Amino acid sequence: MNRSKDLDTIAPDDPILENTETTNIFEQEPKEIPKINHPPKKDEKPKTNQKIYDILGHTKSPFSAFLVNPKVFDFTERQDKEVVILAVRSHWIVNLKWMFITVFMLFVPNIVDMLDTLKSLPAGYQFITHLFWYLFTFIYAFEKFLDWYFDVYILTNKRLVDIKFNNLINKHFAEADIGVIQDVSSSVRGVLGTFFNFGTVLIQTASEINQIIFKNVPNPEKIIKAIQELRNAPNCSSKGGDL
Amino acid sequence: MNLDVNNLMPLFLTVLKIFFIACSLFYLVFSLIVVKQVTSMTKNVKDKFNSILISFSFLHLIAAAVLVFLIIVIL
Repeated sequence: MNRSKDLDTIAPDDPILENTETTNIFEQEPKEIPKINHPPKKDEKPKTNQKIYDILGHTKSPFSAFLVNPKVFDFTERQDKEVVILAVRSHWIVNLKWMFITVFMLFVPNIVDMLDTLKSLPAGYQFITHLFWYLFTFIYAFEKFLDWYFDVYILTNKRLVDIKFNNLINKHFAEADIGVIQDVSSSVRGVLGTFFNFGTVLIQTASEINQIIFKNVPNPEKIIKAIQELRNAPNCSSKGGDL
Repeated sequence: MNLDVNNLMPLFLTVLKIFFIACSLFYLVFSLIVVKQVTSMTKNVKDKFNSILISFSFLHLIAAAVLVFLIIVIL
């Protein structure tokens, strides 16, 4: 009776098999290991979120009016677990008008001096008038800048937010959940708009505030695509996508 | 009645001084409002340059206070 040669693997009473094939495991082709679906890591961004960031691109400058995934940016009404995807201000080119006016205002005292308008007044009065004028010029530019800086349109994973401050006194806050957005359209007008790629994005909603307007925002087409992507997110409900 | 321009000048300057003082005081109050508003806005919307904006508003307030002081001292 034949016995197995490999006595370590077969018990003494086992029947002996004839012509057992011996194969070298190193010569065998490796079998495919079935993939295990690991749950995503905490730091890993969900696919939809990543897709939106791919559409929007990256912000190169902190002075940019188009802040994608801003790390420092925040607003009071932000809910827990709400992520700011995009914070947009009007395109910087809209500031050119007040910048030109400010530069002109800076030269007004020189023009007045050239015309000898204040010459009849004592030197002290002339000095105070100039000082007053420069302060007034500063506050004009500062207010215009603040007006631009604090008028922000925000796209989060749950809603669209429009924050405005009128004349530094009145605050306007409007929001619309992603789930109630019906139509999104954009318009780019004029030479400057076409050249610098900025325009207006109009968002129609089914909520009480039936429309939210993003005025003079850069890259309107990217904003529309990002909003559409958020709307199409699989878990986008009437309360917004929870990415 | 004979009106002499030279006699009217001191009166005009006094009126102008009172006008400047009133305007600068209003401006000082306004700059205080600006500080309050900038602080409030920066609380609502937080961004990188908020601290710089608050500093500017305070500098403006100081300049407005200096203006009131200068008007009282110089004029």
